[in-house]
Amino acid sequence: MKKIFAIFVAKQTGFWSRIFGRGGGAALPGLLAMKIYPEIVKELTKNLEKGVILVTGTNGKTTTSKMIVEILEASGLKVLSNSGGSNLTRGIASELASKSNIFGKIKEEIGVYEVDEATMPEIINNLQFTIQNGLDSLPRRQAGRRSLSSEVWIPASAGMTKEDGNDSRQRDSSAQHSVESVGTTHAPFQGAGQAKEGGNDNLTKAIVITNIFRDQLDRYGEVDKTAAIIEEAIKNAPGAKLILNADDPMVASLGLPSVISSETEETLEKNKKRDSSARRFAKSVGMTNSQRQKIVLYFGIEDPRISAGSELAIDSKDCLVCGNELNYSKRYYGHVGIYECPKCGFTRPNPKISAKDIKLNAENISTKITIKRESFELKLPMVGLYNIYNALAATAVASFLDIKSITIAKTLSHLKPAFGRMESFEKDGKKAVIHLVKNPTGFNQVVEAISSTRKPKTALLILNDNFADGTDISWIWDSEYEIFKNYFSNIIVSGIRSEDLRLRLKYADVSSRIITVKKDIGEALEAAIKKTGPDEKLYILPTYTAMLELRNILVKEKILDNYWT
Amino acid sequence: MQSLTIYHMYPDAMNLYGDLGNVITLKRRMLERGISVDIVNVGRGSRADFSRADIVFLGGGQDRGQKIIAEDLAKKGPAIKKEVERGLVALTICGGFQLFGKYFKTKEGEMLEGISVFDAYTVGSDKRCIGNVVLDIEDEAKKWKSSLNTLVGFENHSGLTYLEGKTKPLGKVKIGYGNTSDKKYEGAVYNNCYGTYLHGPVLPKNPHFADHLIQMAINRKYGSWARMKKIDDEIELSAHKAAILRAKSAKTVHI
Repeated sequence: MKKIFAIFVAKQTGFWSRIFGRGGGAALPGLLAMKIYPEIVKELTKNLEKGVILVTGTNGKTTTSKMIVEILEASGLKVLSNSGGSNLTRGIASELASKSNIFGKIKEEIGVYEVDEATMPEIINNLQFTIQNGLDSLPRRQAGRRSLSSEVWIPASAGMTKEDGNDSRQRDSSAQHSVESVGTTHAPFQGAGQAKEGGNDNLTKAIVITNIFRDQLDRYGEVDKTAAIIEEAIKNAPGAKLILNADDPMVASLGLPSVISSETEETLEKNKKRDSSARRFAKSVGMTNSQRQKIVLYFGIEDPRISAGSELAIDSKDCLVCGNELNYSKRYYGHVGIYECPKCGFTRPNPKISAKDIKLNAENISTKITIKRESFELKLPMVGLYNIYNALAATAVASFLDIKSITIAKTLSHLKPAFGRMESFEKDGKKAVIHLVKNPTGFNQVVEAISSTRKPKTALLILNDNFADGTDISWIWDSEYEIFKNYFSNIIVSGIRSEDLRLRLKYADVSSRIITVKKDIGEALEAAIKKTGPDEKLYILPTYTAMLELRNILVKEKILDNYWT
Repeated sequence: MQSLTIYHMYPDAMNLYGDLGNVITLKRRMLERGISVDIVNVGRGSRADFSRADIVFLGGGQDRGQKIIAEDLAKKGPAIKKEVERGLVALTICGGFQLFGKYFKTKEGEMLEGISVFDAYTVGSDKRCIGNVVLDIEDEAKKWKSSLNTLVGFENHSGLTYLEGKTKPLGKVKIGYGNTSDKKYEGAVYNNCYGTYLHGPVLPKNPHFADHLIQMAINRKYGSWARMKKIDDEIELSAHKAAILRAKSAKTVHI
């Protein structure tokens, strides 16, 4: 009964908030539904017969999710996804409630959930204890593990992100709420030691981790903490395939046996006797490469011609296993590349899904993608090396689900950009494109892509410091604003911290003559459009809440569509 | 032509919250005055001669970065301490500030030895002080001969730093949490050595602080007390003012 009432309330709230245009109804319906019926996410997710794919990481979650959804749909699956909406538990609850009928039945077969990094433990707990009678369904690796949920660290700040950001503080209470509800239900798992082989699968089919970079540090504390949060979450989803970026040592290390196996120490002892110098590292943590491959699917770039343009924004160069500095034989961007630890032997895993022959053009990217022994040409209608990683992650998921290469290639080459990511529009006859920026790595990638064309252009930079943007704006000093010295005929700075942007540009030696300050985003947009020459393009680089505000203006002017309707 | 040498300590391990912006700022403000700049990156295992440094800068880092450099810094400690006694100008931020004290005892009880330039110690805590900060630096501003007597920045720390003896705070907290999260004092000063939790980074929006560091380094190296020429700070000061307004309107978070 509670379930029906919760779904009813969520549907009503979603309907009315769309009518009144409040926040698009992405979060509130789910929030209310969870208050009434905390188990809503697990109960409704149960109806997705093929389970769910979780997508997390610092950059590329939304784009990767969108790619996965479109490939799955092209293969004939009915997909439920929160992509483009809120990536917190409540956002997923909203989506589930809106897609289900009043009794909770859902016609979709598979879920693709984009999940905020700090929300991972909460989501995984929600999906895990769904299996009420399910000792059978716990896979082998569960054997002998500690009980679930009691050890999961959910930071007090978990759940504050990526929403309209007006007042995020209230979100704490609901995060807390679901943690409590988890706490009361872990009893059935006490006997997990007797788990049998086989049986049903877990609801979480696969976990995709795109990358882990410095982002909104005021929220998580530190980069390492983000990795630790995700690591804890993974440990509680032992049945899921891990689809990991091999080139990001922070992510790749999450596929190490110490994370994915609880029996590491035991095996370590056993393996001590064996001696094979070739696999120094695998041996040291007690698992062979083939054992690892059953659980982990790595993707990465194998193109010797690609290399990093920026020395800035390297937020982690040390081995996560032993702390020694990593040796890079190749750096693609930030801390992403081909690396090896000279001390403990931790090395970049060989990717099963890889990209080579990469050509980064001004409007698109072409590459050759290899899945095991098969390969196909891909022309991606997006810019920036980071989108190759998004495409690789999506390809990895598709290949894990046995979807044909031809379907993958076709879908990816006709992709439309995700919300605020390379969204193009025309206003007053001038061409413009929006690139969401939220951290130095993403920023540097975007400006590098933009400046690959030497034509003169205009930029509108918007910096907000609301909660969903990250209240600490110091990241702009780790970003390459120096690039604006060349090829830009006009730069308009806007947003709550526009003065900080102007200062950053001064210290990047950008001439003050080409800079205009308009704190108000609407005025800034008008000014930027006016200043954009007839043959130029306007590049708009907003932070998250600035992007929402900008889109609202463009939706009102009927230039862009409202994403949620 | 005057020239200054900046020793940027552990730039890879200790640069987390845009602290590199401090070095960019020092450099630009020197060049604008015709002072040439030599920036030396001092890494782990390098043999740095601190008698050749005019300004030492050490930024903040993650716990892991801090642990990695602590051992190496301990080796360089006596030389740095000796030069600070002789007036070496130094700026240390957050994790770097903590290691310039006597020790940092983490929440888990682990002891990280500092180099005792500051008569101060740091203790880990469960809460994290995060948010915009405004400091009243009236006493320091007199020394700096600055009419602007505020500092703005962004703090993000869980370690609490207690000052003792000859080490004095940099300023009084007007907005924010400060050294010990009780909204009283922030930062540390001993001779020409400064420590603070302020990121932002601290120097770009506080040009009077940057100029004071440069002025002290010039005085020490050239024995002259002539004031450096003023440069156009309109953009810096408008960012300073905007940061104060923002700090007043934005709520700070205490996790």
